[in-house]
Amino acid sequence: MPRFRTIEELLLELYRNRGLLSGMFGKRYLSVTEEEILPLLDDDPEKLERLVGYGILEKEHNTYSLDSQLREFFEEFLEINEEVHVLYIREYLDKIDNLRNYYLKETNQRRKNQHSQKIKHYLRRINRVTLGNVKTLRKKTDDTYKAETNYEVKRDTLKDLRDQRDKLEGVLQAVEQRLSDELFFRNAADEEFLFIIHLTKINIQSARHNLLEIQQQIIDYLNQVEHRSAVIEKVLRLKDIKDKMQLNELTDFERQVKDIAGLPALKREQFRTRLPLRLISEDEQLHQLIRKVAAKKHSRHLEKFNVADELADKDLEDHYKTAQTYNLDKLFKIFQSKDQDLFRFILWHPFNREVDQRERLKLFCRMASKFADRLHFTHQTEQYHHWEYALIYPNNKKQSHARDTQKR
Amino acid sequence: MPEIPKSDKIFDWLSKGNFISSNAVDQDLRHYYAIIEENFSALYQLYEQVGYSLEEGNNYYHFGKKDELQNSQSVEKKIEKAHKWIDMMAFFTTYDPSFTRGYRFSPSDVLRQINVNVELKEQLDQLSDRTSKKDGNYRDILDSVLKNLRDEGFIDLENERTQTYKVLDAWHYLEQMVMAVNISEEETDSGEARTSSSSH
Repeated sequence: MPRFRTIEELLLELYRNRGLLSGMFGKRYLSVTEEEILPLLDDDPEKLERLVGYGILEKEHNTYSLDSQLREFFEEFLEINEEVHVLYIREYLDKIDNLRNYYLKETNQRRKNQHSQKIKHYLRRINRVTLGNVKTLRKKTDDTYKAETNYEVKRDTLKDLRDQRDKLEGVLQAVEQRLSDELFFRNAADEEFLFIIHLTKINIQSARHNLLEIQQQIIDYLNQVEHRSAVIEKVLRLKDIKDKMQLNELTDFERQVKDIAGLPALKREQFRTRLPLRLISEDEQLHQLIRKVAAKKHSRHLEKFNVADELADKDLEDHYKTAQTYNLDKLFKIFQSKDQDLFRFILWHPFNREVDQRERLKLFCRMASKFADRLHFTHQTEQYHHWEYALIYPNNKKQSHARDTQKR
Repeated sequence: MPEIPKSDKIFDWLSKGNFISSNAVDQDLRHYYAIIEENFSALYQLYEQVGYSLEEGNNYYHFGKKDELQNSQSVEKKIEKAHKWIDMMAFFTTYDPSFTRGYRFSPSDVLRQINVNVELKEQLDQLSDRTSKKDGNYRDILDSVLKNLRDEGFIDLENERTQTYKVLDAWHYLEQMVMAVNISEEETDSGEARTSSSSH
């Protein structure tokens, strides 16, 4: 297997394939086939082979992935690590312990400095990894609770996260203890060293506070998941019992349901309110509205009841009815010129058509009432068949008739 | 008492037996929720005067009525409804155990499951007796079930175009009802035996 001999060589190779690397880093959790990878390498299978040869890409069956060391390096350096690395811190702590040991035993000042330099380096790494871990833990907890759909996986993942959290807290506690207790760290060799130790302590403290909160969160989520599973179990059991018609025998279902508070458990009811009369007279708009509704209701009412039967044939035939009218004024004028009493005049007057006696009698009454002020009603009466009638004369002929009657 | 905005609208809505959930799809309802949350005790007093008690659930509100327990007719209605709710909950829990507040789904997801899960299919058949769509196909029955749940305020249509429904916070009301029921000793024993044997 060919190897890179210098950093320049490695960097050059990485730089040449930067497009590929960033593409593969984006797909680091997927398996990438040869067809998908070749476009990133100018469709040159030789280049692909070379990269596999140098160990930049890993080949498994027909799929390719980024070398795990490179992937971890990128993740670590870009702080987008998605794993919680408790072991790293433990490892760094062990290394620090060893280096401190060497430092104390070393007599050569230059070597001493080298050791202390390394200790600082590992402390810095602890700082970085600690904060990264806390962030990752928090994010994973939330993601698991919110996004994991399989609730058993969700529960197990949360429990796993809880374990990781506990371990992380344990190791941080160890680091903190080391830093506070050991004389070596309390009497650190130089200012920079003191500063790093101080920073580390602050970071660890803030990390531990965060961890406490995460613990609370995990417990909370786990409780909710447990509650959820209890609900699921209960629902399915009740359904089972219900389908077996044993709901009333085996459970206190009815009693509990009676106690459910709230309207949603009842059938919906609508309020029935009446319009206040005051509003009707005051509110013009309302008034119009009522008229509109009333008109609608009325017409609907009519539609419903006012349905006629079919017309019979005889209803379609024409019928004529004539009513005779009399020109009473003209008749009165003629009467005035005549020397007769009203009844006789009407009885014998030649109309232009036949008029029966009953009709003539009606006419007599109408004339008498209509022209009453221009007629003279005498006290005498006469008999015609079975009718007895008063003698009525026009006013202007009063005298002569009075004489006439006296003669008679 | 200071004037509380929309207290009349809130009354109208709640008095019809509706919920006001904090994760309601309707913007007005979310607004109402915020108003109640801010003025709970004042509103409680206000509605109490007209015979309604403002009940607070887990991220939702609803009304209770003082005299509802005395009325045997309303008790009957409650029991009838509770039976229906158990069927509904069992159906959706069988569809997906994580079906609870905040869950999103579309009818076509459920139908797909119905085709491959006999139990689910049978349960939907049972539900069809409770809906008006007795003779329709599964899609019709499901739509009718969803409409029912939507009318009752347990779910709502979040996205018309993708037909995505969301389970509202009021779903907790149902869970609470279920959790309140006690199952007698004998049944509990055998039930535990069953679950423990299945988990091994």
